[in-house]
Amino acid sequence: MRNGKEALVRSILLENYESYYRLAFSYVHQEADAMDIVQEGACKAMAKARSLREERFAGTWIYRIMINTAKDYLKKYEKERGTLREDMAVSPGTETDLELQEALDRLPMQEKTLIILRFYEDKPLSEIAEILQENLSTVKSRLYRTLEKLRRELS
Amino acid sequence: MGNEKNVKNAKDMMVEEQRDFTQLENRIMAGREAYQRIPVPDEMERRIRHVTAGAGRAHGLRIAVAAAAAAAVLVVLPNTGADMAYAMGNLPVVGKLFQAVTFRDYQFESDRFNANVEIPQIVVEDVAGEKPESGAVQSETTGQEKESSDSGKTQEEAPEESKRLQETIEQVNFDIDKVTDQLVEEFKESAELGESYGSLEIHHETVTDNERYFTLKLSIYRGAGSGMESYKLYTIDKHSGLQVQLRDLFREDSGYREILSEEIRDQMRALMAEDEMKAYWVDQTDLPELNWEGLKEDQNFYFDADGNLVFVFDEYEVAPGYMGAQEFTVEKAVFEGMLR
Repeated sequence: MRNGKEALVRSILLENYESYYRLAFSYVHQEADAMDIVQEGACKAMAKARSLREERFAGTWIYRIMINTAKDYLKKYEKERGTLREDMAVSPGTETDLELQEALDRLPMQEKTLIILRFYEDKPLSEIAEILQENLSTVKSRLYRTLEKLRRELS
Repeated sequence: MGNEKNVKNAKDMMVEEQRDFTQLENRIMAGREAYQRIPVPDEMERRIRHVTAGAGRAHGLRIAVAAAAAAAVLVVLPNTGADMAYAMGNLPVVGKLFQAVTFRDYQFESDRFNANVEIPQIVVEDVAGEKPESGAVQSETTGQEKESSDSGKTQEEAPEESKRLQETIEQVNFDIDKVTDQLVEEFKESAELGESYGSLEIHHETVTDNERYFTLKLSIYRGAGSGMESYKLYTIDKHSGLQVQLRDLFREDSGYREILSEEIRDQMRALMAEDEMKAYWVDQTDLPELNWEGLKEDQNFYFDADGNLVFVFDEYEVAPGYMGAQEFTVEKAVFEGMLR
């Protein structure tokens, strides 16, 4: 049974590592840092696979671990080297709408995550709610609040 | 477009808001393709494969056959030093010299892959003066070992502790071989595939050698990107001739696991309070399931020179990766009363 859960976590990691990487990259804008975050998250997920209660939540659980790992990483990074934002360079060619990109980067991590999961990763709100461990209406209203904020920034 | 029409017909705020979000959403969606084109380095896949390697394999499966296979393993070992391991068959346990000897090694080097692996075996030599000339021992005891694994004749003559010790050492040596061989195989596999890069380092160290205990520490470093450190410690009780786990040290009813775990958690809390750069997986509320679950049945440990217990944790076992592997020392005074 334990092996079954580990195997499940393993297959989800192998299937989705590119998504985790892109999400991590959009927080840190550095290849090496993004890889460290994903590797660390993957290690945690493997180490704790046994504590996973329900297999159907494995996917959202791993997402949550990745986001949490990135959050810790950013916290540590900011303490060590000041804000991350100063050394961030928008990777050339990855985003043509620079104005939007900058507005997204100014968002707090949680709001940025919401935008990425909803629009770039095309996750339904119910799944996002599961990932963030919030109820659906909270996620909905936060998404609208974030969109409202972006709209103001961009007008 | 349709949106324009919507605006003109709009009577309430909700619809107008919806229109604005639609425009914004479209603008965000335009960046989606660019997002999905963020290049993912090849190294990422390799690192993920590395981290997840071995998942789903039945780790404990071969342990049952370990003892049976041990004899066969001993035969293929080189003769150097092997006499010491076999000589103890008919000698008392006390007064033995325990040593970890590198029996085999594995080296590999290419542009992107390198391995430096030393595979030790524990050998026990008698120091009470009963030992015959070394040349004689080698041939004699090699023969003896073959005999004993065939018929068990020598074992009948040996005192109980000696026999147990011999079995324990065979078992431990077998386990060391099994663990290291698997890692070497995994390394060879990825070197053959030739993707990205990787390294494997295995070294050993005797961390405890007193009248009572002998502990061999195997340090394993598997590199791919930021790498992973792990450890395997083998403690042998020289008195009983048995391998020792935590539960063998403490009285079952003493609640030792919870008490020792909580002691370590307190140390983690103190370290985090002292230095905000330090992080351990304790008291986390975001993802409580990631909190350290406490000492495992087979937790790695050894006794330091002062008789304190040192618990050894793999990287990622109790703290995020940037903290590296961790050790926590629990003072003798904390656990003395719980010992058997």
